[in-house]
Amino acid sequence: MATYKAKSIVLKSYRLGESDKIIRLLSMEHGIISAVAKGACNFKSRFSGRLELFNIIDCEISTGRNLDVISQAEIIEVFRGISSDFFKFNISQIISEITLKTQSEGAPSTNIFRLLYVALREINKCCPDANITLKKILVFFLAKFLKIMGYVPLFDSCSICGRNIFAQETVPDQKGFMFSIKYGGAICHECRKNVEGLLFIDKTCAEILISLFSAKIENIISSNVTEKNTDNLLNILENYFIHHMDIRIDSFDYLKKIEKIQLY
Amino acid sequence: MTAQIKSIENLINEFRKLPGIGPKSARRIVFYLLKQSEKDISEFADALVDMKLKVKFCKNCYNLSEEDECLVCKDGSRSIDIICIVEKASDVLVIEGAGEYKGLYHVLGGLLSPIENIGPDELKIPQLLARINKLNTAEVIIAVNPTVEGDSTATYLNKILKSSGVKVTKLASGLPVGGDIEYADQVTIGRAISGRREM
Ligand SMILES: [Zn+2]
Ligand SMILES: [Zn+2]
Repeated sequence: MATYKAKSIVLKSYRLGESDKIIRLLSMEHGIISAVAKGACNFKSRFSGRLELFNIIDCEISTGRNLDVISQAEIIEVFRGISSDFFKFNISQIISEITLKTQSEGAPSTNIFRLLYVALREINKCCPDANITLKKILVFFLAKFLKIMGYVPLFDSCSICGRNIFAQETVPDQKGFMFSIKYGGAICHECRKNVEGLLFIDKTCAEILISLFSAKIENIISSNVTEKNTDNLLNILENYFIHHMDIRIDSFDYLKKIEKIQLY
Repeated sequence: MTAQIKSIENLINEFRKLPGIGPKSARRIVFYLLKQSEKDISEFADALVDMKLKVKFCKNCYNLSEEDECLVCKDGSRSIDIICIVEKASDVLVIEGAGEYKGLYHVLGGLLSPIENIGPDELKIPQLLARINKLNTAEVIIAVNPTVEGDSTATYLNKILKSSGVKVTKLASGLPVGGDIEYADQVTIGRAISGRREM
C-alpha cells in the first residue's frame, strides 16, 4: 500500500460505522483529502484530539481501495479558542463549507491553504463577543478567496462597456458607484439605465471594497470600519461570491438566522 | 447462485443498511437466519416491529420510553433540581450505567451545526428552557462530547442559560482513565490542565 504525507487543516468529520470517522481535510500538497480514521471515536484512540475540527496537522495517509486511511497524525497547531464562542464556530464553519464546496481532490493551492490558516488563526485570537472583528475576518477571507480564484470585481472601468468610471465628472460617482453582482463590478452612467438589481456603494464602502483585495489582515482588523459598513460589505461579497462561484453556503444563512433570534 | 433468489438478496440489502455491516457480514447473517426455525424468525421479526411501534420519546426529556413519561422522569426518588443535558438517548443509558447520577435528563437530539443547518429550534433547546423555568432547576450539567462541535453547543447553551440564573456545569474532560500521559496529544493535555481540580 502506498503512503503519502500531507500538512492539513481538518475541515469536517463524521462518523462511519461503530467507531471510525471520515475526516475531510484541506492539504497543502494534495488539495482536499477524504480519509478514514479507524477507531477515532474511541476514547482511547491514538487519534483522540488530533483530528478535531480546525486543527492543523501533519498526517500520513495510506491509499486504500475505496477510501484512503489515515495511519498517523501529529498536531502542528490547535485553535482551542474557536469553540469558546458560537459566533467564532459559525464563521469558521462558513470558511470550511466554502473550501469544501470549491476545492477539489488532487488540486492543491498553497494560497488557499495559507488563507484558511490565517483566517482561522485570527478567528481563534479574537476575544469572545468580538462579532464585528469576526465579520471583518470573514470579509477579508471572502475577498482574498475571490482573488485567488480569479474573481476580483472590476472597479475602475465599467463592467459592461469598459469606460473609465472615475473619469466621469458627475456628482453621483464622487459619492460612490453603482455595482452589479451579475456583471461583476462597477457600472457606468450610460449602462446603468439598462441593468437591473444594481447596488449603490457609497464612498466610504467603495474605498474599503477597492482596497480589500490587496489589504493585509492586520489592516482590516485594525481599520475603523463601522458595523453597518462591515455588514454592508459582507452582504455584497456574500452575494457576489454565491453568484459567481455558483454554490450555496448553508452556514451563511445559519449566521443570519442565529443573529436574528438575538442570542449573541 | 443466491443472486437469483430475490428474497435472499432483498434481506442482504436490508442488513447492509445497518451501521457497521458490510456485504460479507450481511450475507453471513442471512444464511444464519435461513437455518433458524420459523418460530425463532417470527419472534425476531415481531421484536423488530414491536420495538418500532412501542418506543417513543418521553414528553418531558425526550429520552426513549414506552410510555408518555420515561422511567427516569417517573422515578420519584430522583432529584428534580438538576438536569443533565445529553446529545442522544443512548448517552442516557451510558450515564445511567455508571450509577453515579441521580438527577433528570434532557436529550437534545443532536448538536448545533451551521454546516448541517441544525439550529436551536431543530434541537430540543426551547423545550429545555421551558422545563428549566417550570422546574426551577438549580443546576444543569452539559454532558456532550468533548469535540469542537460539542464544545460549541455547550458554549451556546451556557450563554443562553446563564441569564436564567441556573448553575451551568460541564463534564470534566482530560486524560482517559488507564491512559498514559506520554501518548496524550496536545488537545487532551491542554484540557486536562485547564480542567484540573484541587485534591
Ligand atoms: Zn458602461
Ligand atoms: Zn423523561
